[in-house]
Amino acid sequence: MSDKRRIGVYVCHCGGNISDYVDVEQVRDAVKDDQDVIISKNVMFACSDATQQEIIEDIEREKLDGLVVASCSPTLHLQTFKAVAQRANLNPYQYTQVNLREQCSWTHRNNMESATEKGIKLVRAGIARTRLTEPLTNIRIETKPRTLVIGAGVAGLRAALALADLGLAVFVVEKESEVGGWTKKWGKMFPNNRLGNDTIEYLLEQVKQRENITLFTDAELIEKGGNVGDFSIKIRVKEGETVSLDVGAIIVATGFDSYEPFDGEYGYGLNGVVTLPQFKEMVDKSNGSLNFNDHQVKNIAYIYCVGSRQPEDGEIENPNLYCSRYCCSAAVHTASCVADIDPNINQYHLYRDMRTYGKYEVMFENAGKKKSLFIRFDDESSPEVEVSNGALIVKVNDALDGGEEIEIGADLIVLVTGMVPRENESLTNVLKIPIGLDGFYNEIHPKLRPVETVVDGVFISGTSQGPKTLAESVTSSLSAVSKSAALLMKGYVDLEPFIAEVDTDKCVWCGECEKSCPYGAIEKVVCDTKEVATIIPALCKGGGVCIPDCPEDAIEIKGYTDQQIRSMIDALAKEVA
Amino acid sequence: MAKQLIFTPNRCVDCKNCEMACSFVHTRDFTKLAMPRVQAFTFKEDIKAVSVCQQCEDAPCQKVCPTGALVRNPATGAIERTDSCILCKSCTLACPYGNIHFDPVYDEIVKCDFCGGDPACAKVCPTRALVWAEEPAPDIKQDAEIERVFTEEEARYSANRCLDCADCSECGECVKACPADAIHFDMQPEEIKIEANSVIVSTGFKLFDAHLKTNYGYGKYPNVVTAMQMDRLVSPTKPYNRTMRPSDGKAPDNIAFVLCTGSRDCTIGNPLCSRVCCMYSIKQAQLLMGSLPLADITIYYIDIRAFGKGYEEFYQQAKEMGVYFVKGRVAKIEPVEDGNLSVFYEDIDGGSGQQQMEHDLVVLSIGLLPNMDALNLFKNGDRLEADAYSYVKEINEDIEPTRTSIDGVFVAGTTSAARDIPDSILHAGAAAAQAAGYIHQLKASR
Repeated sequence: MSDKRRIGVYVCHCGGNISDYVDVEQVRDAVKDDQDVIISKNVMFACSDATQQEIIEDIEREKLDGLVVASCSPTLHLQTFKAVAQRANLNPYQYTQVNLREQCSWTHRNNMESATEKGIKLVRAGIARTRLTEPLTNIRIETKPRTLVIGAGVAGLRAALALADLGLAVFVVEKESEVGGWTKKWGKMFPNNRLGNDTIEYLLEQVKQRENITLFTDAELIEKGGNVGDFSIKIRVKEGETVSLDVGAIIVATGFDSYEPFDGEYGYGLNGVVTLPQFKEMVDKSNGSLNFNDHQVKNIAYIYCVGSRQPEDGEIENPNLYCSRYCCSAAVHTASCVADIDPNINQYHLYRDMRTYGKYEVMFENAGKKKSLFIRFDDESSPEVEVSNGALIVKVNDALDGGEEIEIGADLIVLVTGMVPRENESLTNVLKIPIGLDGFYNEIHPKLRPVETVVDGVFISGTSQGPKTLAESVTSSLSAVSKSAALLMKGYVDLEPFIAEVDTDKCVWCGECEKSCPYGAIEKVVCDTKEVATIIPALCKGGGVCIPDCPEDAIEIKGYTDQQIRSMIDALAKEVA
Repeated sequence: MAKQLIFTPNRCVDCKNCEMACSFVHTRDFTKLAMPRVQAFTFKEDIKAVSVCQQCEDAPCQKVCPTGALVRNPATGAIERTDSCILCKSCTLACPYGNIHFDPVYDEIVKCDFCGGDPACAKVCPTRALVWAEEPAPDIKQDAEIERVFTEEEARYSANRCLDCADCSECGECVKACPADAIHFDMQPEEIKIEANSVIVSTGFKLFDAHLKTNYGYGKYPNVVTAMQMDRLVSPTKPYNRTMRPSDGKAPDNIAFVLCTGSRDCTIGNPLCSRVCCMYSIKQAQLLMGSLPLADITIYYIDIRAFGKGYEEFYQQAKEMGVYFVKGRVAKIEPVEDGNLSVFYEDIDGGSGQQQMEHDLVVLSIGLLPNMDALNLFKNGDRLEADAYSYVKEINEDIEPTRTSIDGVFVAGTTSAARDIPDSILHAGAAAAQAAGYIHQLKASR
């Protein structure tokens, strides 16, 4: 393109995140006289309101037709600066984000000189691409006012109700034959002692009263096509039958699995060593007194953090490094329930840090008042469970008493087990949403976008995202309702225009591209008596698989043209003067 | 004869106009942290004096300087500090009068340079105790013959007009400078009436007032700060671009965090855990490790509550970086020499009973309290129901989170309980869903 362009370049300090390792002033100066660069500036925080305003004023005053911000990863702020361009009446697709933080300063902390050189090359590549950008327009599609909720536990059911109350149709898919998940199995739940089963019964009753909720049990999602606002999904229902549906959004509420200790872990497998959910069931079902093996229980020892906060370099393969959040509170609450059944039972809690956060602190205090004894052990010296003369014994070094070893004889040893991510590989593959280091589904950003995933229109909620209490699960599922309802009630969604485009002069219709497209987005048309390929915008994903298959080099992806990519490679390969 | 700064002791009233002029001319700052090159003081109760560099002919400071950074300016006769100074501070020890200083705030050696030949101190001295004149001045002994510009009273009045606070003088420069047009001097409060079907109350929390924990000495000892103050000191836009302690601007090298200040503490009336303090303290500790790599950082805790997603991993990372975690509640904090502080605590993990440890900066990790103003937001007699701890009550926290005792009013964030940012955001999302659902149902029923 021989046209002269007017490009503004902003090199961000990121308050030291970039400028501590990259000489941002040198980067600014290196590109300030480059072809078509009108403005080259340093800014402390490019994303700050004041700087955004400054960029807008620069664009308007200098009549810029291209914008480059060299700051952080596009996943964080591409949308921010596209919006800046838009507010200055610059087409957002004439903006290029250069990732000077994740791909430069943070990765090259030990060599400022080389990092700066790389920074200059990255910014030049950004300028090169921007020089070849053209204004593009979003593709607008209508959204389907229907949501799929996966999982009918407390989070899924509550989400379904909230969506239905907003006038949106809901399909709930539950793998099991019964709804309710873990909550249905439990009796008194903290902090208000409502029965888990009552909660589920209430929600199910409410669901039944709403005409726009369809509940599938024994069902599974097996296919997902389409895109945000217009997914086409397939559900396998009983007896190999499938149902096809169109929905605008998907909320994942698949819950958690309880940690299953391995054989011998704190004596697991011995008679009288139980997990927290198993113990909870015993307490819930006890009638007047707590019995085990037909004997009245007198002494209980709880061992905390089983399956959670496991050491990184210990003997356990793939340790769970994370804290399971709910177990401390659940254990002290259960201990209070036990004391209510029989106040004479001695309860010993072997813990590391008592994480009864916020108002749950009060439950910890109450347990202490009801004959629970708390014994802290160090990360390095875990308790040991033994059998002596047919009786269970826990040995522990009491950190609160100078590490003195004490022995506790117990009728029951409760392993306070945490939450682990649910095994759900086939569903994960269908949804194509990412999993974090801890194995739970990963949000885009824990603070800014906590229920959104990298797949637009697919939201995560409840314990599928990480350990949570009941109230927290419901809170997060309602948050996902907010997001999906906001998307669907707007009625349309704008998709990025990065789709394929056919050069009809070059195309000779050989049909190769049609064969290669997995989405069926290419078809043959007659254009001025000549047979050529054409792209169906709503179906094209911009995947680009058709491009290398075209013998005539007649297809390009808008916004990522060969010419643009080549210019970036040239800029990256060129020595910094 | 060249001009000199000549001081006449019996005229001085120790009004400190000279100090302020000096600090302003050299740093554009009236703050106490901008160290003046001239110092006024009172000693033996009523002797007032100004100490100013003699610009000695055979100057010890100049002789001791290893890099020859102190150079006499032939035009003024003043010895000036040049850029080759390596901050060894030898000159400060060599000066027999104590008139050359190290300024820890600006990280430089400061001494009188006669302001390039027009000393500001002499210009502003209201009693003419300091004059810029040739030596020997004929009138110096004949005090009575010199007319005083100001009486002592007037001099003090003049000096005290400055509030030493860098406060607003309404000059309006900021209005011009602000790119976001965020400053208006002529704004008036106005009442705006909005009709709404639903209200979301997101009025946040109140911070625990650290003064109330009297045995920690906040407000009494300058180097006991709150974590909110520390957040400013470690932020990327921190004052003077360095982390320093309040009393003397020194870079701290042994910092303590005292967790649960104002939380889990019935003595100050808050039995609850504040949920955020463990994590923000660990975050600040990690940031401090970056800005002060040689500093020792100790966190005194009861339980480390790293319960959120990724939090435990963040806690372990801090341990690996070398942050000391000491289990034990701090009993009291007392001052020792040089502005340092002695922290008394029970050493639980070490098992050695009551211990004390010296630190040069102590950060109180203060907790969250309910904002009770929220309860009375609604004027028509409807009071939002509170829970046992005076937070706005969520009447059915499990199934209907964010719903309050007033129909159509929802809470979001820390209005109903202490919450960290991720949980506040989720809670706000839930409040939005609840409010939207409420309005939708309201309209459908009409």
